[in-house]
Amino acid sequence: MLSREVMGLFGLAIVWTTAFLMAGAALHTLADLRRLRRKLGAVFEATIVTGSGDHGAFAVQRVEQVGRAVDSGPGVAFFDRTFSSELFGGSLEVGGRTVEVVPAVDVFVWPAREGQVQLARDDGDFESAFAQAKTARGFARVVETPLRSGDKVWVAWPIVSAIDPRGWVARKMNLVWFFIVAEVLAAAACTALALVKPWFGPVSSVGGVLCLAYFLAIQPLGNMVRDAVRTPCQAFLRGEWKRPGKLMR
Amino acid sequence: MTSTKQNGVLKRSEDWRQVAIIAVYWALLGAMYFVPACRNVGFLIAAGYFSFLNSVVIHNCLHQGMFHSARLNALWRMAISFGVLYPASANIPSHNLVHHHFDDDGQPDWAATEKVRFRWNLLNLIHFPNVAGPDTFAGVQRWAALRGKAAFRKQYRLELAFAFGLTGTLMVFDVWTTLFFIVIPQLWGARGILRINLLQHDGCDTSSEWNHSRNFVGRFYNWIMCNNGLHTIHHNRAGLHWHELQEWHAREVVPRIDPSLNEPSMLGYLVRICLVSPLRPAPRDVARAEREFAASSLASREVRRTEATAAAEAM
Repeated sequence: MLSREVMGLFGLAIVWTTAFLMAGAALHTLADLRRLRRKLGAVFEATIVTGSGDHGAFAVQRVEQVGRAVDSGPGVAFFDRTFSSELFGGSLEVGGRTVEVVPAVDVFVWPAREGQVQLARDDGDFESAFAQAKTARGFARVVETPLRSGDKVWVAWPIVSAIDPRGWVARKMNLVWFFIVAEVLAAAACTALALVKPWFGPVSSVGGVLCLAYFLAIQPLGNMVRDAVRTPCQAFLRGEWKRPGKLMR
Repeated sequence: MTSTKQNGVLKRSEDWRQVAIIAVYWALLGAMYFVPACRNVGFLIAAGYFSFLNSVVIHNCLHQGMFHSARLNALWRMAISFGVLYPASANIPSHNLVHHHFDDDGQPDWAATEKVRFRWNLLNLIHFPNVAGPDTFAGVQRWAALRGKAAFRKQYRLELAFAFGLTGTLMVFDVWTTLFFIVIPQLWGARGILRINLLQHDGCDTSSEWNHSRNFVGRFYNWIMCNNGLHTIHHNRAGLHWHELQEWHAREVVPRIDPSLNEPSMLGYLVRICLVSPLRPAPRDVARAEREFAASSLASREVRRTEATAAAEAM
């Protein structure tokens, strides 16, 4: 017969295996961020003087979305399909000098989140969009976030960013470190509670249930951290357009 | 085509095997919960295995309801949800609509194998449900919010309430026995079916029509697994009943698939990737076999997805 003690150890082994795997996966993410930080070693600040794209756009980040009708609201929920960037070219002012930049597509344009969300706010004809969103094809749109003349940018080729990429990487690394430490500490706290004597008594039982809750909760939290560190050019935009035309986030 | 055998409440007599699987699984859980002498390694391993089979039954039943009666199908879905502690209906969007086409409106499959990145196959196998599970349920939530899914939401909530309600009730009476001998088998099965995704698709070319999946072709394995080892033909001809897959696999898949994707034994494959060659191999061009073979009558993925969506609406 399997005693409670044996099964308790088995249960704790599951919890700790999960905790270490989540930490291991987060360390992979951290390694990606470290590689990115190394690439950013040669970053320089510049101001866009002219842009060769429409309305003086120097570069643009695009999110192709499909909107689908939802019952609540009613509204249109947007799903991101693809992310792309394009450099139209133009000129930059760097340290008092003007530099000409040629067009390119192999670039990563990092938009500022606030500006991107602002541009995604749809104040067009809701009823027409909703009618399309009800079809199988859905309501297609492309959210374009341009970098224009007068905008300050950080360049670490092939990244052209509207935000300081070094600060972004540092913040995201802190987030991942916090997750790793916090998830291990949380596993330790649940374990400690489960091991309070008398074993399998009331306090220990609460610890056991918390171990299960930890196991179920840590996995989506890990994915949330993974999604939170997607680079700004690939970050999910999504969003929802509720009648009468306000983007809810 | 094999003829359909009618049998009372069931659409096909072959599905009594699925009823038996769930009955045995419930009996194992009940025995461990109520009879202390049954809380042993043998019962626990058997319960874990039957929990996995419960997931296989979910998979089969969410492609084709087993019963003539819609009400019985709905009740059955609640019962099989308890076995794995997740709502069986989640399979409609996650498996039928997204996984079968390796695509979520332009974004990757919620259970894409690229989501795990350890160099060791064993670590990927253990970790995969930690990533694919939450992505799947987040995707299901987004899909369920869409217009026209009210019936789905209602059924989903019923299954959720039944699975968690019954498990919670058992926990109120005996928290530890429930955690050890009910919840552990439930989660083993739920996570096992996600792990199978990795075994079935890692190293395959999901952009190809016939080399997107690895098949486990052993006869005994497929008998006990209701032919779920034959994954390529299941992906491409999702409307086929599981008992017809052997015939279609031989006719359509074998000529077009890279022979390395027809594994004789899942156990042998597991030993090989976890112990003999434990590191994840570099991708290779497995789709060459189908390019060298004549085109088939298979409808495009877009057409198949449209058909799957229509079928989901009807469930």
